[in-house]
Amino acid sequence: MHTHGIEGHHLSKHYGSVTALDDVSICAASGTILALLGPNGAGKTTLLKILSGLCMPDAGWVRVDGVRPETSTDLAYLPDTMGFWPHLTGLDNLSILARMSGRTPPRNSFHKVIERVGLTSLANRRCAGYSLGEMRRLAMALVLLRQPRVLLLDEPTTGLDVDGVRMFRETLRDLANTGCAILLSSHELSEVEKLSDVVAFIVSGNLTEMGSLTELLAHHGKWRLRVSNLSLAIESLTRVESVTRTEVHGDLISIWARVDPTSEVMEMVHSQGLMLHEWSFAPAMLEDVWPVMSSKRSND
Amino acid sequence: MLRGELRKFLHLPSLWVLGAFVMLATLWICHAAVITVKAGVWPKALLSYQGSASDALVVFALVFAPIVGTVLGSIVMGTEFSWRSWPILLTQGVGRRRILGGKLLVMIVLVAGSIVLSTATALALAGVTQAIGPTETLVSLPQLLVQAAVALLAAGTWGLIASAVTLLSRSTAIGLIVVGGYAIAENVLELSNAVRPMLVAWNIRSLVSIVGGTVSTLRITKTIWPYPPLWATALLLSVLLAVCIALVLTAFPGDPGFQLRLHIGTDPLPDSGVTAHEEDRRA
Repeated sequence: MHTHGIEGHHLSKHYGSVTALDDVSICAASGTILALLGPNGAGKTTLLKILSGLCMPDAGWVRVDGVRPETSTDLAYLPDTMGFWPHLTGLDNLSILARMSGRTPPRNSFHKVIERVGLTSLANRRCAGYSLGEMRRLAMALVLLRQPRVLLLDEPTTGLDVDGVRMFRETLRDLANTGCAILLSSHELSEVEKLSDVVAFIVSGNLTEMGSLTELLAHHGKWRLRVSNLSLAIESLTRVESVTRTEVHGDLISIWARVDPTSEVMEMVHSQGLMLHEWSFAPAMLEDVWPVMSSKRSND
Repeated sequence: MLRGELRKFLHLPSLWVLGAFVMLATLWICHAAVITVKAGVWPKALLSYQGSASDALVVFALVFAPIVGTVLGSIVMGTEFSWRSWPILLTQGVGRRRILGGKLLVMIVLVAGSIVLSTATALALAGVTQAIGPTETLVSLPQLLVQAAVALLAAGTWGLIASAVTLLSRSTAIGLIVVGGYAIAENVLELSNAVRPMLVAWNIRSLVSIVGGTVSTLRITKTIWPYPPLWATALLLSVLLAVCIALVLTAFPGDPGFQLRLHIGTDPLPDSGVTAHEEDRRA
């Protein structure tokens, strides 16, 4: 099993006076799905272009399983605005692209992948008549034919219907299980939560945070406290050192803390003579983390 | 690679239109003036004078091949921009040089195809007219091959220039307009020998300014640096253009074939010795 995947080190890119990327280092190991998150214009697409070898960085370097991306036969990239040759059928497009690299897949494999992505009825129709979602499906068929070791996707679910999104998710998960390193950028946070193992936030060309999704959500999660005397509890919580913020929703207190505050809170509950009804932890949703992450750079 | 690219472009309707243009251009070269002068009796007039296939190729090489080359060069590179298919093409692990080489090879093959088509059209027409009646159709194979080589060089060079301009500007339209404008100015609107040096000088000055302008623009935007092979291509193209201009100027200095050798107005027709107007009156 490969462990390399794709790695980019100290990548910088400027367009005139605009800094698209500033010393970004990123790595997606084989078998993992890394989601790139960030506001519009943060530099996600530039990073993907550099990682795919389509665009050269001003500084830094990229390696795909140890080789340069532009010469790697193990890398596939699906850009956000991509096109196939409109005057050819979907099957012809697949056939030409699949054979370009010198590898000739068996004839029946074309029909298999076409069926897998749900394009059987459109396979012999010209691509000019394809919708955006159908183009995406065709692109996924190409990916399945190539079976790359590294896959880069730029907002891949745009234009896909519900079935398409499900197919896409299953396909990516299958590819990751076979050892493919997947790096995708998306604004669909719910999809990212379902799909990715690692998330990276890019803001104004800087990588502000990268780590396991589970850990990130746990880190930004909140504790829930329900006790007999609400006002006394809130007042006492202000004296607990690790607690950074509290919110009250009905009889429930939400608590955010720098570190696990369980022991301190339990001590406070006992010392105040409060009756404890509930003490639990709720991991954050990406949607909750998003505002914190997207404003991180400006706060820094 | 070549097979895939050819398959892609042979399905393109605009190439078939271009093929029809090549055939019509060849027919025009052989007959247009006679038809124009002898309007009203065109079927007979059409067959009364037949330029040789070699003549047709000379004219094709000097007048139409640059235009055909320009169109093919722009289409081969530019369609990928308009179809937004470059990203998917460049990430197939083939390598940029191979993709660029494959595309240029396809362009050369298509240009060669257009020359073959033109020759075949001229030969077929000569065959038909010779079958109907004795004419001055002269076909010399060595001469044909030389003319075809010149046509290939002319069309190929203009095609390469158009490809480079299209790649740099990322637009088929710019490739067609900028390079096509030169091709037309240089070839279709070809002037007399007296003004030719001026035209060539103007061309060279303009070419230098285009290259200089492109380079300075690219320096500002820094988009050229990721593509060092393009520098080499641009240099090669400039050399090829210079060679092509030199060849054209030395190979056909004041060649009568260059002036179409068509019989317009009161010039005697070669087979009858009578003027077109007289023949019209008799008819």
